[in-house]
Amino acid sequence: MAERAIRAIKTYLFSQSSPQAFAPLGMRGGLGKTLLIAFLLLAIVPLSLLAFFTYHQIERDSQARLGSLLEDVVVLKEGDLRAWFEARERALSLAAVALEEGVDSGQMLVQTQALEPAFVGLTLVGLSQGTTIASTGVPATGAVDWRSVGDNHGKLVFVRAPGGPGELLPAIGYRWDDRLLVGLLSWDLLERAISASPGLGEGATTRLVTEEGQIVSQAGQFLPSAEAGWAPGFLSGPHGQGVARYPGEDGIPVMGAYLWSPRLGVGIIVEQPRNALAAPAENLTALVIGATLVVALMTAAIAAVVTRRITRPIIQLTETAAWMARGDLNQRVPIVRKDEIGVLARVFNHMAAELRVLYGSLEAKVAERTAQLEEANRNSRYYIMQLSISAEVARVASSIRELDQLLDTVATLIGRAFELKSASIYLLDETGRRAVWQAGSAGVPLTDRELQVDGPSLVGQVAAHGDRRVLRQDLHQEGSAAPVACEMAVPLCLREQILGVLYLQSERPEDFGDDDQLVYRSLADQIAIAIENARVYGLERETIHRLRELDEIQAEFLVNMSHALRTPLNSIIGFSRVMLKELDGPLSDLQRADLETIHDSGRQLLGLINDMLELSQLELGVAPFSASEVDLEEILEGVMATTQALVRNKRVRLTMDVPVPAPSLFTDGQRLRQVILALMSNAVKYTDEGSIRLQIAETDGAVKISVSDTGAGIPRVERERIFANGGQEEGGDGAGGGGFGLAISKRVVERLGGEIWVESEEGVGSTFTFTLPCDPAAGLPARG
Amino acid sequence: MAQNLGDVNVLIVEDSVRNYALLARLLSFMGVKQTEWRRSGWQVLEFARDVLPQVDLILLDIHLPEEDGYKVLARLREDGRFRDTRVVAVTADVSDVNLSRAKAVGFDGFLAKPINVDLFPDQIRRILSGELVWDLG
Repeated sequence: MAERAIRAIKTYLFSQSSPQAFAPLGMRGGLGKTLLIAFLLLAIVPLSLLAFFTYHQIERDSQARLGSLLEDVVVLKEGDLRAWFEARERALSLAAVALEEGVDSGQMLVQTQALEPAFVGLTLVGLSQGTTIASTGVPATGAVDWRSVGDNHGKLVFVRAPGGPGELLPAIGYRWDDRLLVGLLSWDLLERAISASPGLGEGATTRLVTEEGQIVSQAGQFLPSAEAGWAPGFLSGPHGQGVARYPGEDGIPVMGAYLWSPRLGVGIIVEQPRNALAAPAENLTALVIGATLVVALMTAAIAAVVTRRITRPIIQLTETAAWMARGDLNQRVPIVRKDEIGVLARVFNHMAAELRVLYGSLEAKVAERTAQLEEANRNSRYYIMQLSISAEVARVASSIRELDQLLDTVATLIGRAFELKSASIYLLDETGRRAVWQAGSAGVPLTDRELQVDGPSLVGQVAAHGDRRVLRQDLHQEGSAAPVACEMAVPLCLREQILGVLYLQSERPEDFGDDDQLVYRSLADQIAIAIENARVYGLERETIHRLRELDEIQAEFLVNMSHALRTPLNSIIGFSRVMLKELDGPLSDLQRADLETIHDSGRQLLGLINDMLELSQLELGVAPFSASEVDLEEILEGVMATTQALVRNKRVRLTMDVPVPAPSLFTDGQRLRQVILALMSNAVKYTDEGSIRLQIAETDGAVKISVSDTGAGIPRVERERIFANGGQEEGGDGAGGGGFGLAISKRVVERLGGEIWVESEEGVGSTFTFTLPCDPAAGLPARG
Repeated sequence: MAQNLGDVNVLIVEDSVRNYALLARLLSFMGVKQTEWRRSGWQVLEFARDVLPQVDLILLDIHLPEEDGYKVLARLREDGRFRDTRVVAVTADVSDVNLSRAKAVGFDGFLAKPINVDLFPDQIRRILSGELVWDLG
C-alpha cells in the first residue's frame, strides 16, 4: 500500500513538466519510505537481537552440556579400559605364576593365548640377557625393544609391531624376577572395550594418547601432539584433564574431553563433532528467525497501513499546495479527521480560502493598476508629444519675432509633427469680420484666403463662436490626392479674445479624439501667446524706436532751450551788471538794490539752466566722462578754497580730514570736484552756524568721501527724494546754488561706479557720503 | 598788433541785436572805437573789407542763421584777408564738446554767453595780446 502510494507520488512528480514549481516537493516521495523503513527497523532490529542472543545462549548451554557429558563419558571409558586391562593383566599374572612353577613356557603361552583371545601374541623375555625365551602368536623379533615394556610393566604401552614400521600394538608387560611376560593386545578388542559411548551421538570417537602426547591408533601414529592445534588447548600436561573445542581430524569442529589414567599410563580423549549436538540449538534458531521474519512482515504490513494513513493526507496537502503554488487557488484538501492532521487540513483550507480572497482582490487590484498605468502611459505619451511640440513652438515663438515667419514655422511644425494633411493658421482682421489665411503647412490656402466669420466654413464658425469643432466625413478635397478623413478648427484665444483659428486636416479617421483635442488646444494657446508676443514685440520695438526719437528730440530741445534762454539772459545779466558797475552813470541805493536782484536772479536762472542741461545729458548718457590719475589733494584744496569763499559771511567752521598720503584715485577729476563742491555748497546752504567737515577715508578698493554739517538736517520724508531731480529746491536764494546739485551728484557718482547716500538727524545735521572705486570705473574712458 | 584799443577794429558777428549792443557797449567802455556788426558769416566775407581797413578781432557767434560759426571760421581762414585776425567764439552753447571743437578748428578763444561783464575787458585784452582765452562761464 505504501509502495503504491510512493509509486503514485513518483509518477506524479516525474510527470510534472515544470520542475522548479515543484522543487520544494522533492521530499514528498521520501516521507512514506522513511516512515516504512523506520517502522521495519523498529520491528526487525529488536527481534533480530533477541534471536541472536537466544541462539547464542542455547548454543552455550548445549556446549556446556556436551562438555560435561564428554567428561562423564571419558571417566566411564577410563573405568572400562582399566577393567578390561586389569583382566588381561590378571591373565598374564596367572600365566606367570604357572611359569614360575616350571610349566613349559611355550605350552603355557599357547594355552594362555587360547584362553584369552585379547592377546594376539605373547612373548617371554629374559631381561638380563635381553633374549626371547618363548613366543607365540605374533612372532617377536629382535627389533622390539622389550626393555621399554619392562620399564612400564603393569601399564598400557605401545610397541612397534614387527610386521611394518607404521603399526603400533598395545601391550602389557608382567615382570617378575628377571623375566618379563609381554602380552600384545588386539586393537579391535581394545577398541571395542572403549568404543561404547553411552549418551553420545553418532561420530563420537575415542582416542588414546601416550605420555608423550602422541595419539595412537591401530593405523599407527596419529598427529603428533605438537602439531595438533587442539592438543595444547585442553592438555594442560599429559596428566591433566579438561574439555576443549578444536577443529577435528577432517577440519570439522569438534569438542573433546581428556582424562589421564595414571593406572594405565595413557590419556583418553573422547571427541564429538559439535554439530551433532548443536542440532536442537539450530532448530531453535531457525524457529526464532522464522518468527522474526513473520513478525517483521506483519510489522511491515501494519507500518504500511499506518504510514499510508499518515502520509496520504500529507500527500493530499502537498498536492493541494502544489496546485495552489501553480496558481489554482480553488483547491481544497478533502480530509475530515479529528486528529492533528485534520486540524492541519482545516487550517490549510482556511488559509487557502483567505489566500483565494486576497489573491482575488490582488488580481483585481493588479488589473486596476495595470489599467491605470496604461492610461497614464497613454497620457504621458501624449504629454511628452505635447511637451516636445510645445517646447518647439515655444522655442520658435521666442526665437522668431516676425509674426509671418513665426506662423509659417509653427504651421509647418505642427503639420509635420502630427503627420497631418495640412495645418493652417487664420487670423482675424482689424474689423473682426474676416478670418484671413496667414500660414499653412501646405504653403497655400486650401480654402478661400479670406473666410467670413460666422460664415458656413468650419473656420468661420469657430472664429465666431470660439469653441473648437471637429468635422468627420469623407471629404474629398478638390485637387488633392489623399482624402481628408476629418478636420478640426481650434480657436486661438487670448484672454477670451479670439485672435484667429488653427485649422487642421487629417487623413486618419481616428485623429482629433479627446486627448488630441487637449494637445491641440494647448498648442493653440501657445500659438495665441506667441502671436501676442510677436505683436507686443512689434509694438515694443516701435515704442523703443519712438522713445529713442523722443530722447533725441528732448536732448535737442533742451540744448535749443538752453541756448534760447541764454540769449536773453545774456542781456539781463550783462546789462544789469553794466549798470551796477555804473558804466551808464551813478545809481541810487534803491536802483542798485533792484539791479542786484535782477542780476542775481539772472545768474540763478542761468545756474538752473546749466544744471538742467547737465542733468538731462547725464540722463541721456551723453555727458562726457574721462578718467585719469587724480591729484586728490589739489582738488580738495580747490574745493576748500571755494567753500571758504561761500562761508565768508557765516559763522561756520570748515574742517578737512584727509589721510596722509591721500588715497590715489583713477577717475574723472573734474566730476569728482563737481560732486564734492556740490555737497559742500549744499552743506553751506543749510548751515548758518556751526561746522562743516570734509572727510576722506580709504576702505578696501574704494575711497569714501563724506561731508558732514551741523545744519538743520533733513526730514525723513525728504531724504527719500533728496537725490531726485530738484528735490531740495527751496526757491534758492543762495548764491548760484541750483536745486539740481544733489541730483547731478548722484548721477555722476553712479556713473563713476560709486554710491551716494545721506544720513541725517533733524536739528543735529546731515552727512552726505559717497564712495568711488580706486580703479577705473567700467566704461569710463581714460583721458589720453 | 595794435595794443592801443582805440585803433583796434572789432567785428561782431551776432544774430541778436541785444547781444551785439552789450558787446559793443563793453568794447566802447574799454576804449575800442571801431566796432562793426554783421548778422552772418556771409556778410562778413562780403562786406567786412569794404567798411573796415583791417579787422583785428572778430567775436563770432556759433549759433547763426544760414551757416554756423564753424563754417564761417573755415571760410575766414581760407580768405587771406583775415590771416592775422583773431577770431573768438562767443556762444551760449557752453558744452565741453563745443569748447573742444572750437579749440580743434582754430578759434583763438572761447567766451561763454552770458558774457561775464567783470571779466570781459581783461579777456579781450589778453586775446588781443595773442593769448588764447577759454572761458566756459
